[in-house]
Amino acid sequence: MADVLRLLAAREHGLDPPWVLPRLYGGRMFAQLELSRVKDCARLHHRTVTALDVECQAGRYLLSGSGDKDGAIGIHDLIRPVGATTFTCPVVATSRNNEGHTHGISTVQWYPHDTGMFTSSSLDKSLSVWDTNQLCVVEQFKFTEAVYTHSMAASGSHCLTAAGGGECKITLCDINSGSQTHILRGHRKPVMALKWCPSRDYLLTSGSQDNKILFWDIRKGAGPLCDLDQHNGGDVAHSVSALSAHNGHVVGLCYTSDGLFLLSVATDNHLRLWNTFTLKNSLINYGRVPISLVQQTCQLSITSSLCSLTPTLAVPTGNDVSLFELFTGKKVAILRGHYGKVASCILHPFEQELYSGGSDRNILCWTTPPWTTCDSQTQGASRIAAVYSDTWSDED
Amino acid sequence: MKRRSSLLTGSVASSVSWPISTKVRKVEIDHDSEPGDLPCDTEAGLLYLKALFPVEKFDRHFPAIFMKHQVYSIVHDKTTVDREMIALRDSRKVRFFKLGVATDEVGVVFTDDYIARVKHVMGDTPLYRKFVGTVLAGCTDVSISREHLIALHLSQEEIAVIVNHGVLVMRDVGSWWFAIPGISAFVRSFTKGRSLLLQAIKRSKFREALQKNLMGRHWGGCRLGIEYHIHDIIGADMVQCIDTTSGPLLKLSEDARAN
Repeated sequence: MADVLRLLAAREHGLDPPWVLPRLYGGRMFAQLELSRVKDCARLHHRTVTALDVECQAGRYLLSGSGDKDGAIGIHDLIRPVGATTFTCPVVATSRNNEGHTHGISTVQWYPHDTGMFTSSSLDKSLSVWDTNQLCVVEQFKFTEAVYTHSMAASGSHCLTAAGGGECKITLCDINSGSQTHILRGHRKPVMALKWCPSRDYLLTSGSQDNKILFWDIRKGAGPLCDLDQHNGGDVAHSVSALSAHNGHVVGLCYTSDGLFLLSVATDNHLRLWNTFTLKNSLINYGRVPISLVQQTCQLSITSSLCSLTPTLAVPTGNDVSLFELFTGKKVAILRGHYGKVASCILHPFEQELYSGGSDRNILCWTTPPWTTCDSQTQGASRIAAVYSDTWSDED
Repeated sequence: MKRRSSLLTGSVASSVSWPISTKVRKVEIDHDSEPGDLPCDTEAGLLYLKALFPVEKFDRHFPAIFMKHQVYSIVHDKTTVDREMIALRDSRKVRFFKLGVATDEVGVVFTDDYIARVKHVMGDTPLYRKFVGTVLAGCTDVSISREHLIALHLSQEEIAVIVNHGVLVMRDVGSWWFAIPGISAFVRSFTKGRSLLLQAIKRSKFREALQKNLMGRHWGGCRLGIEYHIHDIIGADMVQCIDTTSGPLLKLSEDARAN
């Protein structure tokens, strides 16, 4: 409390620039995340919650997909009703049984520009585009193998969605025209993770079971731009074709919000941070991170630079969610609360909140503890009174 | 001299939170270095581990070998340890070796000890001097390729002699690992000691054990000493170290495998 007052005073007197306080304070708050005492999410799913996404416009709706046989998708409304101290986030929409997917969902994503649309990819070999208000499928792209991951580009110049799965190639689907426009070939094994670079329109990153992470410029048809090497060129004696980003299958990728760093996680229980400008391994040691592989992929999340000065990373590890400081590798917190393995986690884009879904079919909310309002004057006075009080009444 | 030794143990003590064995053997200090040349935290950790290693139980001139992850249990910031290790390797103070114990694990040896071992095995021949002067000085990697050796002016016959002595071991067609001759005794006792310790913790009721109980027990068949192995399993994240009122408690991580 005292250091917050000090930061406020420094800002008031112009000793610190105005952006310092929210970021320093926000960053520290992530170390105090705990199971929310104020809100929780209504029970919806009957199987493992495998995918989560929070929309970036208002941060109000949480989209979740489960590993159900009917591939259930639900939307929760996260906003606090006026005047409520504790509340349950209600389910505002859920997909019907005969529509949508017939197997478990692997990834869901809101349309980056508004909440009118979202996409979902599933193990039933399809990628579906949904209309949120009608909650019906408006477009479906079919593939020959299960789709493990997809990513919609947030750019304004094109509306391509990249999808990757059991076929060892990446397919770019155009939502405008409804056709599959490109195929990117380069991986030798199933593609497990895909992410568009937030700062560049045409840059796509993919990770696959052949231990490689490849960068693609979708305008260039010939092949990948480059792949990442975990030893930074140090292990020269080994043949070039065996260059790998990890010693295990790459199952998750995440960019920082400015697109300058890429984080990858793999089944060799290591996290690696890559500098996207120099394409080198930044050699930050996060220790052994035993990721939980409930489904084949792992959803990680990094705080945006608006929220904290030192970005924090959330990774599902076994039955808990681990928070690491991105640039030092220090473990900041372990969030224990799930009864089963955690399959996905997502950080809220604006608030200091984390949502995680697991094989116990719950979606848990983790927030910072609320301010305890205390009137220090009356508390102090009552304490002194207690010391001097005795059992004799005043009338005698 | 006395002042130097107290400075050294002082810096070790500041970076080591625990465990410090009360019977730390005296560490030899290089008196030729300048007065301001104190070792960094990682190097101090390595010198502490060197004091733990029982050199007398192995061959003559066998170098003291430690695992890179053992230093993580002494200096707690892993990224700093990694960076300082790379700096030490580039300044030729230590060398890394792939020991074949597990794919990720790297062994660390002080360069002077390694050179003494190579000299003991190869003898003080011109080839030995050439190897140390050009190959060891020129290549700090764990392996070396044929092109690099030829570029350092080594002929096929000289390479064959070095491979015969066991200093280079075949890795791939045209590349070799740097190896320590006579490493098998160390690897055997290392894997045996590690599995002994992990099984002892596994067999306990809640899969955890107080560290002082482990150190106080008698361990038959553990050549390297129990404290060496404790640093190994803590640094490799196979156990979590929890502070309790009776000292540190080692709790087996849920997905640890005991090999």
